[in-house]
Amino acid sequence: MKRALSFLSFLSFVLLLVGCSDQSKETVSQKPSVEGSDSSPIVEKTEFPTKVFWGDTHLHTSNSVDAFGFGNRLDAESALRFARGEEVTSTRGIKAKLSRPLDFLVISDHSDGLGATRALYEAPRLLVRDETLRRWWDMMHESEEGSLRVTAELIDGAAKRTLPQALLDEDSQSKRIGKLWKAHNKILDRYNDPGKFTAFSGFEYTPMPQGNNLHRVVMFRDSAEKTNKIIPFPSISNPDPEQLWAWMKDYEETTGGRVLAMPHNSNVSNGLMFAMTRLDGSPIDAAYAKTRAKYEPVVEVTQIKGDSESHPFLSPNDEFSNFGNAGWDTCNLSCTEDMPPENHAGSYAREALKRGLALERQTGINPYAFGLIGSTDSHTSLATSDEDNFYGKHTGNEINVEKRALVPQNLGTREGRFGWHYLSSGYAAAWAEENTREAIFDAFQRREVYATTGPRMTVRLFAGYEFSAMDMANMVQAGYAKGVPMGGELAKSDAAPQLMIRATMDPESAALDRVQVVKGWIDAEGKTHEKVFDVAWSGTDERQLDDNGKLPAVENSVDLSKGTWDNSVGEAELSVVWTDPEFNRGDNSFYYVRVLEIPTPTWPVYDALKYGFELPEDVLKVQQERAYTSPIWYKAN
Amino acid sequence: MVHFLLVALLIGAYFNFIAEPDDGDPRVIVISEENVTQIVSHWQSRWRRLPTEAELENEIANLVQQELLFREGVSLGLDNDDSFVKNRVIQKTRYLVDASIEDPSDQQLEQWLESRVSEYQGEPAYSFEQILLRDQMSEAETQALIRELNQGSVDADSVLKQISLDRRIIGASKSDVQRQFGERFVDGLLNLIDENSIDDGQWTGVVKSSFGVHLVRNVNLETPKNPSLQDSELKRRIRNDWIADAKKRALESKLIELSGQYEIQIEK
Repeated sequence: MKRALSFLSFLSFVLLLVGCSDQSKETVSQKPSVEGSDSSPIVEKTEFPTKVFWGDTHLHTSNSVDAFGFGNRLDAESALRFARGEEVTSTRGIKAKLSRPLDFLVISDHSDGLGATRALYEAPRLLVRDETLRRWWDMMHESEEGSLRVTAELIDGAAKRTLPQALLDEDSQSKRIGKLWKAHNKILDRYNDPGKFTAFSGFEYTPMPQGNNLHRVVMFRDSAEKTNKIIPFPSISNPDPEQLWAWMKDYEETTGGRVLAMPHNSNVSNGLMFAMTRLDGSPIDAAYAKTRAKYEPVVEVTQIKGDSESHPFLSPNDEFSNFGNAGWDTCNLSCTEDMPPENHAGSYAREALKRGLALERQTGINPYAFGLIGSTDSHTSLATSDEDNFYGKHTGNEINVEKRALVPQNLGTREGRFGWHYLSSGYAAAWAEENTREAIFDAFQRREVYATTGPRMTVRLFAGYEFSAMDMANMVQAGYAKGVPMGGELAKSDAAPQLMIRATMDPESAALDRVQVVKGWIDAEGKTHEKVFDVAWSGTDERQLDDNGKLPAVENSVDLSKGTWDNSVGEAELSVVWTDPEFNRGDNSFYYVRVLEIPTPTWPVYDALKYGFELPEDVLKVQQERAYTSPIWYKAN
Repeated sequence: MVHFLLVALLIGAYFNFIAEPDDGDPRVIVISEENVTQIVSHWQSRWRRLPTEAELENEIANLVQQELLFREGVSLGLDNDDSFVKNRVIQKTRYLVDASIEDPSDQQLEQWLESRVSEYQGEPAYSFEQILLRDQMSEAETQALIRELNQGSVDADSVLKQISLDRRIIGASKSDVQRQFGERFVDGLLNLIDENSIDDGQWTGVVKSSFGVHLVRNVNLETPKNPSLQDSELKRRIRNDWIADAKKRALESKLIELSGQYEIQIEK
């Protein structure tokens, strides 16, 4: 009693109480019917991955410093219940429900200051000693605007490394976070329901040197028994992703568990995410390439803060390369630095896949041989990605904030970043034998996954040398027997690779416009190239490739006054066995598939219809949603 | 040294208090026999042995010090308007309300289940065969086609559109059917069969989906067996639901009771 209670130890006491109330929830009806993953219920397992499972690997709850600051009051249980299809009341009081349940969820709260804003908010003011923290406490309790300003200051402080010492003190932080993390993992194990719904343990590692985004979502294959042995790795004191990989290696060695990391928002990294050097400027060597390829098999390529697949500056011949670039390609994450176009090459996934081929030539190993997924990065605890049911980036712009599409965004207003620049995107699709942590994690590890910007179209891709058109009737068996699925590798051959592709529309979304193959390769001189091929499309009677190999655009059937479209301009399913017409056996190459839906309205259109206001000219109203598969690599040597 | 003296003083006080029982005066601190027993048992569970006399005295002294500071704080009004204290007290009061609920009997659970059978009934299993029609046609043309298919004069394979949707669905859940065919299809299917299975091998329709127009046959919805308390997993779930509901109702009625005992003024 002689020692005064420090602020942080008091916080841990606060969190202890929060933990108590969480436990009391165990006995109420929200409890899932299957306990933990250890009770081994009977799960149907197929010989091949025959079913695609849908999930969000990037969701924030009230435990994330910024999410709570933005006003989010929904905890992990709410997030899990919402993801598995139940109705949840959003922080702003709307009854929220997904049109269809998701199959898996990774809750990825920021490791830095995990639960800290909530703890600060709930602490007695008397015990908040730090001046900045006390000012923040006052602002948070004063108004919603105040709370938003605190969040902006927090993000800014993290970027500029000027956060209050009390938030940086590792000892007390890790004690507080340790308790929170264990309680959290217990909830995840309780909701993990093999065969029905998979709840993954994870966190977000959030370094951003000078505001350049190097964020990663870290995802575990394991239950609390293993994940409780660590606490989420903080980025503030460990800003180099190489430190994260070393930590991941240590986790795997000491616990026998498995973990992977997924970079995201390379679009606001100012060229740092897929640089040609290590972060410290030294050259990439084989050891670096090997470690990165091992721990980062998948990149999150589309999400609310824009799409990172491609950019017109890098792909001038691809008329669809500008999807989700607007608002995100002028300044970095915190808008503290402008991003000149010459830096874009390190910011977009397609170029990174090409760079990987070049680095492979130099070092013998490809550090950028990654698969592609989408996820939301929603900070509302609500994993929404449908245009007509979009709950926004954070609680400050949830679905019932009338003119959210037109509101300037605090970070980057000067550069013209507005609400409508947020994409209602995306989800991750995984081809797995069953809906379990093990099977879905392993699908990520072997890159048998793909990205969509929200719609759940089913896309299958196999590559091989012996496919015939007949194999289409028995695609899955033939694909696995004679070839490799998405994410796989093809060995050297004299024959040109064939891609067996099938894309089926999402029955709750729009018909399909076309299927494209994106090819990247490196020539004998070490120069990289790319080309986009249209390989299957709707309306083949009217639409044919022109002399330049380009397909005319599909009809835009969107009725903006109703928010509807006509599926008959597109096709329900497109399939093809395509042989590369420009194959050169000596060139290392990759192929991935991009599927485009017919044009549909963007989420601001639904807002404008609902609340009866006009959208300004410059707001994007019609778009073609899409899927990106993981590539298949052709290895010439 | 000062510390030691304080302990000695307090121990002395402790025995005095025993001699003079608490009469509700906030200036009288009683460390009861029960308190001491509790201290000893905590000690035992932590250290796996009994405390020495010195250790016990130290523990008791700690308790007294805490009580002194707490009572002094309360008398200074430090607990007023402290949201943290308030929440803790609210939580305790709620625990009291919760604790008033007794474990449900099997009979009570049975009653609960009987009044909510549909909630605990598992999902029905869907089985059917479907084809997606290749050509767009009028209602009359479709009905004519259905007749021809059922007479055997036209082969189903010759009118269907190739698509990767499963032709035969066996024992699938509603959500699995919906996942593949969409909500509109499921609604159409349910409308068509109107709770009666169609198992005569005759094609019927139409059922529309985003993919187009489907014909179906041998549509069967198998309702799962009635839920029963014999199923221990289900019994646990029902028990949880019963308790959660009882807690909710207990809190509601307590609040109604209390709001009658207080005068509430809201100044707007």
